[in-house]
Amino acid sequence: MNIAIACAGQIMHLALVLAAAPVFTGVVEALTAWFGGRAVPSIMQPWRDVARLFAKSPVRPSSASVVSTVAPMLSVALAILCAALIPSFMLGMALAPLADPITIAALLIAVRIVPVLAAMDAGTAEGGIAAAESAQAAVFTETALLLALFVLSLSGGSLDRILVSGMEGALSTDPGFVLAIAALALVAGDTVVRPDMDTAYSARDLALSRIAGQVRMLVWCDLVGALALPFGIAPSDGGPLDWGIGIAVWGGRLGLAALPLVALRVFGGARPSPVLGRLALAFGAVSAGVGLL
Amino acid sequence: MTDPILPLLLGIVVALTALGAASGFVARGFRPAIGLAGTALAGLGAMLSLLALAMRADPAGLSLPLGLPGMALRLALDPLAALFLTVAFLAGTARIAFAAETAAVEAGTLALRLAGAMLTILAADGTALTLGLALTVGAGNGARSLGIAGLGALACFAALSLVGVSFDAVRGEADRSWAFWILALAGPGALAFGAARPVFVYGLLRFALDLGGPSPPVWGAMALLAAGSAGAVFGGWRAATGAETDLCLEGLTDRQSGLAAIGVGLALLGKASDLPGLTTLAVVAALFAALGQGLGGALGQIVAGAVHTNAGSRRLTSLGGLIHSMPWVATALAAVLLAGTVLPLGAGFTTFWLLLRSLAAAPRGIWLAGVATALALSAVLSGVALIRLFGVAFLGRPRGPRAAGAMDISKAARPGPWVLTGAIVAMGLLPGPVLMLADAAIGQLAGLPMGDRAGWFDPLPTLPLLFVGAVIGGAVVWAVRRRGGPAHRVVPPWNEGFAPSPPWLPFGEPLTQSAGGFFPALVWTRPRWRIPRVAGLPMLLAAVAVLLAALAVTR
Repeated sequence: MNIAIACAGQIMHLALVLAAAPVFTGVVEALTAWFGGRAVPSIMQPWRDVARLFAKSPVRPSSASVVSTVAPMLSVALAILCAALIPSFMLGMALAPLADPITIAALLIAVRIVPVLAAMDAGTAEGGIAAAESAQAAVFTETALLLALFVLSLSGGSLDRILVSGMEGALSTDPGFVLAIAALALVAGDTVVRPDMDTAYSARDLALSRIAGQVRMLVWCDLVGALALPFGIAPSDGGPLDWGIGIAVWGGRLGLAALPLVALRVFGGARPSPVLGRLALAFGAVSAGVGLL
Repeated sequence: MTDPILPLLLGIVVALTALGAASGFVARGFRPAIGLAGTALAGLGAMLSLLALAMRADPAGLSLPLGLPGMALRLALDPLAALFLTVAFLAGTARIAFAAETAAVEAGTLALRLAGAMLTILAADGTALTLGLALTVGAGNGARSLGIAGLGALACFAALSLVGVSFDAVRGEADRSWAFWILALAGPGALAFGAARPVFVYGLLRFALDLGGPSPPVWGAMALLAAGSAGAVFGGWRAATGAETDLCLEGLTDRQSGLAAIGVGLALLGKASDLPGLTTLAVVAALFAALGQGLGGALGQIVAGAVHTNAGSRRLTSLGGLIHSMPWVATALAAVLLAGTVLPLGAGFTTFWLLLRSLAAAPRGIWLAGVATALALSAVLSGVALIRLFGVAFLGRPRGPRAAGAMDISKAARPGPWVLTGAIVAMGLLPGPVLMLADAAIGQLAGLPMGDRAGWFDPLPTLPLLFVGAVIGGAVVWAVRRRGGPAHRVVPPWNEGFAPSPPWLPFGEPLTQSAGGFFPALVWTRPRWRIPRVAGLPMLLAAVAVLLAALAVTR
């Protein structure tokens, strides 16, 4: 029975995440436009863009290789795999035993590497410059990501156990964990605000890249939101009422997570400030020092 | 049962040495025969070592009536030696077979180096160890800097102080920390300067964990952790900023050396703190780093040689687009990167995961934060190296005529790289069976084998993760195919509105592709001092002569 509930919860979680990802992106873009004094697009605009792109005729540079063919689908698959491992509204999902923090960090790094390689595949100037920028920024942000998730893993094993510790108040009272979550939030800000490297894509490849970006944004907000505000998540043995509360709280957490993202976009411009990555690394290193004391 | 294997392995060492020495004198027409014979010998050695490893037999010893008066050469085959012999023979077989087909490197030189490595690994006393190290370092005419040659000589001289001392006698002593420090003093220096290679990592494991005694000093563990952290970061940095393919790949190998040293340091900390669980986990991490380094390093050298020979340059700024013309080499490079970086489901990730788990199990101390930061930073630098090496050299457009006309390796040269590629992929996907194979060696070093914990899904649930990933990936591909849509049209690369390159720049304007400035060195890099490339045999003879002279003086 427990296995059936875990599987049902996992499928429901994935369905919710996949449905919410474009809507969440739409909300963030609408709020950014509203705060920026521009015409506010519909929150369903990302859906419409993806549908429109799928119908278009794709072109590919002659210098592109198999990497350009595989990368868009691989990006989506990796982003969905990350999403499947990070809980949204309930604990004890079927894939919870695989949700090791270090594994999630490595998957998030892979999610970042694949588009960078694809951007370099055609050998165009803009793709190469974007890839170089992303790789240089990654030295700070991804190091902070690894350190922060390592420190958080000290409180338990899998992400579920960390969240249970958080629900018991352990995360908010330990300065090491607080610093680690702050580092993660800064990394999330840098990663989500950074523009997608999709200049070499068109039509359905571009649509897949957009889907991957939308899922990635939701994954980051899910991860940081659940760690920063670890309450309202249905326990593994919870019933339908707990699930309903969990879904409502999850929606609220996402709404709260959208606000700093919008602020970063409105006040920080189209590209993230380099300060974010450096600050994240500093927080991550200090959190490791405090966590290992 | 290992008793008959040891003489056979010794025979292979002698035959490889003779083959390597003969290669300097025979006519060029005999070179393919030497390559073939070297491949056959190394392949036989790999099978024998694997047999010894799989049988988990008791250690066997052999005393040879050779050497200096009163100092017979002693050799031994124990689980640790069998594990490293398997890896070294596997890597050696692939490299010699590839060299025989492509002539990128002299097969005879490789045979000589392999023989030196074998002798070092089989050594059960200081004399055999010194001879093995001298053979390895002397035959290593691939050493490209004075630092590497000098540190190799330093290790030889460190081993020299053990001449005539049996390892069994060291094990029998109550206080044997002196034996640990002899190579531990040479090892960290070599690691920090990126000079270490699998044989030195083996020496570190043997001296620090097997011969170092049950209760090493804590400051020794801290020294190794500091040196390993520095080695891992410098190795990653070299890999991410190197101007040539072989330098980048060497940097990844050196990073693995640093990781192995961190693993050994944590294992020593576990022994010093009486935490057997930590010791076992850290030993497993160190062994994984060493195995990844052995296999990935050998494959990396094959890839670097193939690129240099077939694309005409080692410089990243002259390459580009090789994935179109050299798909087999590109696949081999992907395996190297899987072993040397932290991509999920790769052997490098397993090492990284095990090291972080060991760090979490270690007694708390703020200084461990430095180790954690170094581990994370080196992991990210290895990722940058992946992007830079693969992206600049293999993706994009060719940056010169030689790169545009590059040819893939021939069919006859492919088996070696493919065997190593398969081994690396298997290491990443099936860490459990690898641990089961290495369980006796783990027990020998840590005093506590993994036993039942080395199952199919331990220590990492890689296969379930692979299964879930494959299901999700399959669903994405199915959905995209089902959605269909028009087929791709192939068009010339667009330059964001800029005009196409003029006819006198057939490979495009060089500045429109990232290359040298992709991840520039942010610190001043010292000029590389190169030693002239000379034949291996004179170097070997010179090294042995120096060692014997030093021995005469000290005795």
